[in-house]
Amino acid sequence: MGSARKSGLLAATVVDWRAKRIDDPLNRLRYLRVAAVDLKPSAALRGGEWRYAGLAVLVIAAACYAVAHLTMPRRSALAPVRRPSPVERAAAGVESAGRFADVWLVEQNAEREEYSNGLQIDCRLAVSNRPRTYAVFDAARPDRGLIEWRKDPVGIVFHTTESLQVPFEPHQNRILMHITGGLIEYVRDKRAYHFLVDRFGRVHSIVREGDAANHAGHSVWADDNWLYLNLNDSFFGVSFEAQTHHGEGSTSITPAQTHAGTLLVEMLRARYHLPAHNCVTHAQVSVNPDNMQIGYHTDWAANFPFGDVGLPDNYARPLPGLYLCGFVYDRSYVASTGPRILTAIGLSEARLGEVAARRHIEAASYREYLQREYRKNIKALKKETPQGDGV
Amino acid sequence: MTDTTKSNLAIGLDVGTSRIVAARKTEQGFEYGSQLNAFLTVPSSRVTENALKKEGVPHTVEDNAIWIHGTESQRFADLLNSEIRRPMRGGFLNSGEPASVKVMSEIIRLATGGGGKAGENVCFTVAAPPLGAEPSLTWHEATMKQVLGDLGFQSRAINEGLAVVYSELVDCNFTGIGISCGGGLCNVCFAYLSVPMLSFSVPKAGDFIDASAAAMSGERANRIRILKEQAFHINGRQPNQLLQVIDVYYDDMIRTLVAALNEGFQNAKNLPQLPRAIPLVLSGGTAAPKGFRDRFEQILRESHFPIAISDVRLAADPLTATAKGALMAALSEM
Repeated sequence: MGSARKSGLLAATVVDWRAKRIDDPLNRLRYLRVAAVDLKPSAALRGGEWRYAGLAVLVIAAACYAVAHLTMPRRSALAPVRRPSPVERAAAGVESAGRFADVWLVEQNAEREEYSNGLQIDCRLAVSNRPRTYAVFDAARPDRGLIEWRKDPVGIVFHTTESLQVPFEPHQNRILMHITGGLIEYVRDKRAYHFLVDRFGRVHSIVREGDAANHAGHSVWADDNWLYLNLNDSFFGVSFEAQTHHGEGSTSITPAQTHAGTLLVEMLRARYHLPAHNCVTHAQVSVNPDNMQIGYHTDWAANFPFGDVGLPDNYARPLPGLYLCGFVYDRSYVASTGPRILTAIGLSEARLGEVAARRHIEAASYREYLQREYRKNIKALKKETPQGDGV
Repeated sequence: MTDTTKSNLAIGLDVGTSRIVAARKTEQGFEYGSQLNAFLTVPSSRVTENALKKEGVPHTVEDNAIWIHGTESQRFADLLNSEIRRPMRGGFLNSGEPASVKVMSEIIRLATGGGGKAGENVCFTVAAPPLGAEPSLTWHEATMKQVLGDLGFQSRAINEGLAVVYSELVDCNFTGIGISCGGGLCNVCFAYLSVPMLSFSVPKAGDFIDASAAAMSGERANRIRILKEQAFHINGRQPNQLLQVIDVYYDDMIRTLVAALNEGFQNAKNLPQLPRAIPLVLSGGTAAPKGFRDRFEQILRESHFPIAISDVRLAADPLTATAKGALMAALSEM
């Protein structure tokens, strides 16, 4: 450390110490505005605040030097800011939402998988489908077209089965089991999801994890870097045996399903390093390219227990279908969702408006441009994907 | 001249897009005068003029129109179901409003209780340049000096965020981050031992919320602002759709502010290493609703802000803190 810098550090400490001994706020400010003015580490002083630079601080620092030298700990007051490392941030709890639990496979056979967090998956009826492969697009520049092909899953889409529901009561056991059995056969035949969580909280593997499942259809999601179109291949489909009742607070699952969902989400996130913000509901991702409206499917449009399954409230996240692909929404969508998705709609509209303003075009024109780019990208997907557009 | 007499000759003036607040030191403490930074023109008529005079409503008559200035313009805009006009936009004089300078002069005169006395000093606030931009505020600052000079004041400018630090962070030796959340801008200043180290503005604040919520709900922006100031509590569970919409845009504004804070501090060079965590203080009318501080702190703590923050505070009086800080600056130079 150079001697000039050393004396600067000392001066800062002295000035701080001295100011604390001035009780009157105004006098303290007067003192600091003179004494501390030369403490700015940048050599380039500018503006009216720096006009007192010069002799004053040196005089005060020199006068206080002896006292400070004897009584104050030395501190590197003017060294450049050192940003906390990721480990330090995690230790401080800043990145707790981005950390993954330590979950591992304990035992596996043809019928069952058991994990260290207590999750058990019934694999007896698991089937194969086409191997997972999907394209990603640049979330900042969807107009750049298809960027690359990938195979690793990036998130989870939560569904409801919309199947027949009978009261969840002990004397209904036989009927409940019968309905679930039929449901599993149906979704297996359709390759509809990767996992099904029945009303007793049992987790059934439907389509094997390495394959795509036909769960999301026409759909859109994006994270900070990538835009994903038609999420059958890129996202896991996890469905809860439940039925949607439109509006806030009515769709519900059993406590056993919530518990199982928590363990399943924890395992999938740990195993595949899925970011929390990529774990969303079908209603958030579903789109209809025929009328360019979001929310073709509205399962889990409200009331998905994000907090209970260990995720942040992803209902608050803007909807990429709106702000990256130019989709629109209508009143029926708002009516079938509730205030939580209304928040996301508002944010999405604001984001679209901001980008349009930056480009000096009307929001409506920018939306049309996004719609054209979306169609172009879907066309490219159809052309280059062996199974069509992944729907 | 005694200290008290000298104090009487200093004014702190918060020149905000939404409000103009003047602060003075009295023997009892501080005294404030506040005016909405807005005006309204109505067709001139003898009857209207007499009614305004009788009611003591500040106005001038010019060009076959009656100009109603300041806070009262709001009441008349409501009565006439029209929007008020604003001499400032986005933190600076509104270049789209030809009468802006003339109107500002009237409103400052109202807020300060008349023109300047001999030797009276005004320290007035100015916005920092937007994040990443070079300072280019000379026109606004020079015009304000001209306006204040014409009213008889001697004036100098102070950064708005720094004024918040001077007002609220005396216990930390004026070290910390001051943020003034106003109508047009959020002004941020990091000061170290009273010296500004980093300052910038974020062009998304109360007006953005009002305009966006108005566009989405069909209400007038005026009405949104009143509703926001009088009956709004940021808590994510709003009783009706209009409040929910306001909540949405508040959330967006806070997230934008936090993102800008992260960007600004991560890209800043030559900041001092701080021996301890520093406080952050929020001020301004946009920060006033209940729950704002909590929502801001939650979003800030979730982000990867590179400076350790000891506590997030709300100014003792968010509406007057900036003017008080400007007054502190004026007094400290006497």
